[in-house]
Amino acid sequence: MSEDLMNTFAETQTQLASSRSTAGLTSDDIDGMWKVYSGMESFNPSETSDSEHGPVEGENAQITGAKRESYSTATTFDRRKELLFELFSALVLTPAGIMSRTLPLKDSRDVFELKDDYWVESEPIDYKVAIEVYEKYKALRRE
Amino acid sequence: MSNPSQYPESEVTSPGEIYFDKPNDEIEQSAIVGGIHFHSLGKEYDGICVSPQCEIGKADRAHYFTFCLLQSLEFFVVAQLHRHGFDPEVIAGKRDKKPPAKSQLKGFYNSLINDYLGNKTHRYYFLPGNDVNITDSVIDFEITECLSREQADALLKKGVLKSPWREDIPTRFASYIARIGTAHISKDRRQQALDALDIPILKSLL
Repeated sequence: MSEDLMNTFAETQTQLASSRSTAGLTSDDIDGMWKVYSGMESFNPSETSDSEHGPVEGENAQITGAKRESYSTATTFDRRKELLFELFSALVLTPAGIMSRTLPLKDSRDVFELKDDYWVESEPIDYKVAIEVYEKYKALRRE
Repeated sequence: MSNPSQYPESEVTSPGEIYFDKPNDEIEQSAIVGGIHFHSLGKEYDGICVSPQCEIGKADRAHYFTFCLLQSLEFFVVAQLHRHGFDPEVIAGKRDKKPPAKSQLKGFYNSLINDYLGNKTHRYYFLPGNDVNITDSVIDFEITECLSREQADALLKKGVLKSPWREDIPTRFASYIARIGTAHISKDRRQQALDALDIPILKSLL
């Protein structure tokens, strides 16, 4: 390893230690966070429950137990993670400059509001049935 | 949230704002192509291209394009009416069939005009026609078909959307396929969060 590279490495290490210190984090904190994110440490599924939905049970609960080693993280934790990706992608894919009036994502506050106030559930279409019904409707209209 | 977008409610779009006058012969993002055989439906319909522009614009040209189903608004409304229990004879207003009560239809109509045509659902997207060769339509992001360049080149290009609709369609498609359902935070917990703020004027509302 060249001397320049060694110096750069040492400088980076110093900066990292400084950043941790500024954020009030110790090396143990960082290691602990890494273990949780990498699935090495347990995650309590009841943390995601609320009074309406209750704790995670059944298969998901099993995942947090004996099957833990074969999963990188608990299922419930994955859902949180995916939600973050969803929010992130919504924001990144929708820069303000290309928003149309039908895509009102402006900031994260709006994303949360949309859950209850903007987006509505849609009903699926069974096209096998719908095509038949539509053809019958058109025939009736022609009569 | 009555009108949360950057566009005021009064800015009603006209076809000239949404569509280019003449479609390009090349397939591009949000190009509308006619006569696509959607294998899952066993029929031919119009489709709108949702492939990423960065793929389409590559120097060595994209080899495949993804299209979402573009069904006529009439088809969509008849299908939804049937889902709400109306048979084709009733929908067609046949005299020998008892018409549904107005109150029965009112809820459906409100949902149609505010939610579906207001583009407040994830799965569907109302796209006004261009008064020439594209009728008022509804995109169904669930129904897709992939075509090779040769297949797509052989089909009729009916129109291309202008910005920002051009970008909006693939973005909405991405939002639809990337979304994930999570349990809502309970009302009790939300109430608790507001109570904890201890803001006097809020407390006066309790």
